[in-house]
Amino acid sequence: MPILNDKQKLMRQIQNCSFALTEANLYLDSHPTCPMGLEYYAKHKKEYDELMKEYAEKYGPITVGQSSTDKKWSWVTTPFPWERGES
Amino acid sequence: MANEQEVFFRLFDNKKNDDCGAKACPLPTGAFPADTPLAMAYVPYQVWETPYEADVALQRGTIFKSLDKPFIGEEAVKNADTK
Repeated sequence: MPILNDKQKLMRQIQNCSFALTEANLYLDSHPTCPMGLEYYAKHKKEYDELMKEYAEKYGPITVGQSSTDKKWSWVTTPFPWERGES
Repeated sequence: MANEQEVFFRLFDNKKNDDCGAKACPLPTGAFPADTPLAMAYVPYQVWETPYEADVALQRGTIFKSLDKPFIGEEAVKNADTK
């Protein structure tokens, strides 16, 4: 496993969380009343939102919806998430 | 709408299905209820299980152990004739 810097670690956490959400989503589609599934989704959704907010504050927006609009449109003034080596 | 429990047990509870008419018939009646129509595909109903940790899940490609079926090719079919 490569040594990840803080930014990459945070991104990896976001990826883990978002994958868990996608899986829970698929499960809940066929089990809409399953309490464990709902609880699992809610837990990871909360974590996902916190991580995304932290990442946006520290390193810039991951989605355009997170772009700041005071003084400058950070979506284009900071490197895009897929420009890995950049920021 | 039948609740989840009823649906689950109806599909998997096969105590009441009577055995094959012709005694000579060697084929087992299988795990399905007697009224299950033939020539239809059935997928067992997935039940929640303790999921993998999120980081493990991302590597395994699923959060559910019972869905974690990596393709293992050769080892799956010992010395299969692959010419």
